[in-house]
Amino acid sequence: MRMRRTFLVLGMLALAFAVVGLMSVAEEETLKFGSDASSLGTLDPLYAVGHQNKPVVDAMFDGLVTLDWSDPNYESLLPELATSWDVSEDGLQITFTLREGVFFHGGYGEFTADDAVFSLQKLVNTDESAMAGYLASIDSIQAIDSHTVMVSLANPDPILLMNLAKYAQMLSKAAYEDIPQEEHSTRPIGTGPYILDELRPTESVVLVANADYWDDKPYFDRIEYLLLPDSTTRELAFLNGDLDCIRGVNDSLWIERMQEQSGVIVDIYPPTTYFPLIFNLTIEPFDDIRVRKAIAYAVDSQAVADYTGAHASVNKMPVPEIVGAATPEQVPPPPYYYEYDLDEARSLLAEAGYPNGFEFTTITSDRALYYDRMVMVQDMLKQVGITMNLEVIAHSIFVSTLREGETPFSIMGSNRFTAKELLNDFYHSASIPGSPTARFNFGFYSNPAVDALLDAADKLGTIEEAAPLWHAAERLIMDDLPQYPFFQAASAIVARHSYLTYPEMTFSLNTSYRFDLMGKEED
Amino acid sequence: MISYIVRRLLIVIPLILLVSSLLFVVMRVVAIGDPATALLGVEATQQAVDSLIRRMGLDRPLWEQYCTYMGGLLKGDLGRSLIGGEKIVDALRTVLPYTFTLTIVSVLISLFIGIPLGILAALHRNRWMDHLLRATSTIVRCMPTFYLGLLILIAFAVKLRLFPTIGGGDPSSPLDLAIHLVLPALTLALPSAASFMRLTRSTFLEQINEDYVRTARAKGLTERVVIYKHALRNCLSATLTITGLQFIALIGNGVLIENVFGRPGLGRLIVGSVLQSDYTSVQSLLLLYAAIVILINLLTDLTYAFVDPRIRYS
Repeated sequence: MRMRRTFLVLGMLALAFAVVGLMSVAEEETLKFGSDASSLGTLDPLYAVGHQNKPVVDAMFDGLVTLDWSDPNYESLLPELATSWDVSEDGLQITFTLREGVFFHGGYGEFTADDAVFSLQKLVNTDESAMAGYLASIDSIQAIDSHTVMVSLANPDPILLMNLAKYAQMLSKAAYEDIPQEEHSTRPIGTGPYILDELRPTESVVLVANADYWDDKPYFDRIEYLLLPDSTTRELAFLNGDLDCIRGVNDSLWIERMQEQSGVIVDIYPPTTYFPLIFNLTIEPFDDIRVRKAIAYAVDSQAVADYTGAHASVNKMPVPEIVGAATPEQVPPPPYYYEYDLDEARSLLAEAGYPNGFEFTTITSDRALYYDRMVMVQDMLKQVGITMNLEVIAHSIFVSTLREGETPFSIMGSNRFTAKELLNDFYHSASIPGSPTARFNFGFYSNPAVDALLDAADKLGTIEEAAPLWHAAERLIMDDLPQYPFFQAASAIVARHSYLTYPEMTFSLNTSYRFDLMGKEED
Repeated sequence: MISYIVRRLLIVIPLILLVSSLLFVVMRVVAIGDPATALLGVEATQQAVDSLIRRMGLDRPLWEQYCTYMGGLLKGDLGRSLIGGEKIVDALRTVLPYTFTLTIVSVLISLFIGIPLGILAALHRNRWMDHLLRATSTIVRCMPTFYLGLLILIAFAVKLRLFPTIGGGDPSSPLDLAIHLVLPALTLALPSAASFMRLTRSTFLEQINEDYVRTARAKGLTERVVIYKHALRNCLSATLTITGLQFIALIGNGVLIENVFGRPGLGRLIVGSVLQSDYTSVQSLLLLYAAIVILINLLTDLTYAFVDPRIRYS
């Protein structure tokens, strides 16, 4: 009797070990990422533009082309759903040859030219997608056969392929038409390396690897993307080992603290976010250039950059060092580079009729990056007698309020890849609030000469040809000073444990990570 | 009694309608931005924003939007999120169990800690035990909830590694859910327990000096029976009021705790919706919160009748 019981116990132990053994063999590799967002918003690739949801969407979809992740730039693109492409002599036609044997998630069939045409038509339509502005040069899209697509442009666009890589995800026509409109945000169907498993819009998203992916299977079988807006919690969970990688805080103290932890690497990525101080030229006294110059002299940009950290620097030109920007040698500075000079500021104010300064009220976003800097500016302006009263409002409302166009003075952060995008968004009169094409020209700056230069540059086929026109526009803008360049800071700051590996530029575009290129170093 | 209950329940419906109308008006009148700008972000053109506003149906006249929303409510449809399109009812189904278990467990813990400590303080009145308890309760009640939460998180999850730092736990494992419940519940329970402790102490002291206690002792009843069977029973109605209020307060405080512990819950759902200017979600979720408050108040009032024989509703 006792023997039988002993054998029973031993047998069960053996079974238990076997089960545990099998379980560890079948164990999944999971990546746990901590985001700083409080809500995902939408997972519809036509509308996912923010750093909180675009990385998740990009993991589930493919585009025609993709950036070369070892060196992302607008000139070298790699094949993705297009195996090759042909650009015509005049730069007005691109013919893509599509990859065969690619299938959509959820059993929605093979990817064909019909899907590509459907996707691009939606993407370029302002009423149906948030990406239309980036693809504005596209005039029409045609399927030549089941695996060939021709895109015709209204004007040559040297950065179109890069924008297609960044913003144009391929949708399944069948799925998009089959799934009801209100479910497009929560049921994404793509061809990508990951499939949506579980979605909780204010907490987390879980992705699982696509077993039928056309390319190499990614290292991680499962991605847990957690929304942890409380930065302390995020940091504690990360340091405790509950998270592999987290989105950081754009603060020099945080960066230093994390860099001191053993086994932690902090990655700081371009492009930099550019933070000009924007004057509203329709509101007194900012319509007077002497007042604008006085403020430019009164603001100590270097102090602000130092406070922000090693990843921040002063901006002296309207366009920071991005593609197509002018260097100080190319655009000789006017007699003023607005070095910090309180006396000059005071004398300009007196000349403009404000010997004792003046008072005004404006708004600021509650985001630390904006708020802290505005408070510093507030203090600096006080030194020359200008009293700036700040109303602090939530970031999303801040943006809507700026669009109304009645804010006298503000700071706005934005990052751009080329001078073309930056100059058009901030300085072209078409970007003034009130018009359908309104972008960031919250100061109502309108200089027909600048507009003419920017419009002419848009028609040119290469960056090299367009650059001199942009430089000329920059010179005019520096003369008018509608905005003060202020400072810039790298925008994507990520902390990871050293066992996590990914290509150097993985976070470089600020909005898109590449979960499929991440891996672990085995100990 | 039955007619009292029926009357109270009948009032609920017009009350809910009133609250939902007020919420609708407040959401549109108070400037909190719009969901299209929140969704598309800073980068969008005015045209794109206007187009999305049309798609969301927000360009329709306000009275029409009001009727659509209220019509849906009357059919029991809480609507869909303007941002993600998911049905609000579905989001709630996932999230409410976490909020309710946290709140109920927290209230229970705070009662189990607070009431005995209150009696202890009352019995040792003005001696060192009483002073210690009252000082501690003041400190705990004055601390911001999230600060207390972080202290507990650092102590038990990070330093001692006894509990996980974040998450609500694997829904398929009750044990995992329970482990993830401990620290958040402790954080919510401690300040609440402090309130119960002080309340119990003061009502108990009142009762101990009443005539019936002297009579009970004179009758020869043991001190234990005097305290538990007689004095404590009479403290119950005051305790009940506070329990109801604490329950409501803890649901509200939940959002801070949910953020600190990365835990799913109603609070995060509401805050997420507000930050995205998701009108429909905010309206429906706040309405739910209001309904919970109304219900808790009703339950509290009803239990008085059972606990205190002097109260009779007719």
